[in-house]
Amino acid sequence: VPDILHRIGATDASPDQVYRAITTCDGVSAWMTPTTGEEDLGGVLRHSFGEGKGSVDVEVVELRPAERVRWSVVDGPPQWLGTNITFDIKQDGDTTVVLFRHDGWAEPDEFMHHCSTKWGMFMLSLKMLVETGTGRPVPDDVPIGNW
Amino acid sequence: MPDIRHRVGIAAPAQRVYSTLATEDGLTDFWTDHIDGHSEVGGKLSFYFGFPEPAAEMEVVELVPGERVRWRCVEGPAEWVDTTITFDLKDTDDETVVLFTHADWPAPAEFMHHCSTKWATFLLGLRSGLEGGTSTAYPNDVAISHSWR
Repeated sequence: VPDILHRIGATDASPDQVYRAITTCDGVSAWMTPTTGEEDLGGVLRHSFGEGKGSVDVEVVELRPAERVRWSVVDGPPQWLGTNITFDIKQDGDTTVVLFRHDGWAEPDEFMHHCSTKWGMFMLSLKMLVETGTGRPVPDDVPIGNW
Repeated sequence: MPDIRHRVGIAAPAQRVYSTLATEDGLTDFWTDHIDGHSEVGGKLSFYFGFPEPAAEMEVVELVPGERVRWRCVEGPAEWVDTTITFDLKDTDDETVVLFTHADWPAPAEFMHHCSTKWATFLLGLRSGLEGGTSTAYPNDVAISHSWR
């Protein structure tokens, strides 16, 4: 089963800071896309990508402060249904490392290639957010093509 | 075996995208400014990233003009040896789509996570360079962590 993997290191940002950016609607909205919903374990978050671009609903299935966040996709593009998104956070000297994994894809179709590159840009946006206070969430995200 | 996959759409003709990926000169605008070798099928390309020894040596296994470039890693980081890197180009109406695959990693280790993000930045730099912006080939590459370049 193919997975999407990424790794970033944020300098002079604590694991707590990174954890908050991934577990709050305000945080996720500042690096990924406008996000609303219930932040607690078992809650559902909705990521909205803008008019005509649809949205993704994820259930928060694991929350380990400053260590791990895991979402399970409950609604969204058909290829995303039943997939899981995991953020593992760890400290490495002056850097907080995030290991990202989006797993459970049925097949490595062209859309998966696209999402892999897009997640890479969002991970860099998360790094920018915790390092500088400003990320590049939708609609200011890095364009990667006409999709 | 786990693979790294990416997709970018570039507003440039497939032939220009191909030339960047299939020639030594072109590759200096994509990956690193220091390359040795010959981009021809059966030839080897060495890619240098600031050290006297190349970080990776690739055998060119496939060159299909306007469509595909494929390499096999013959020397480099242990995890890279025998992996293959493929750039498939698709001419759509308004852009050239690059489907990138770095296939057959032995395991999804932390280094593979890192390389996936790093490849995304190089592919975005390829897009930017071909669309009139700046390329992000080494040493002007995007830093994605302090601990690993």
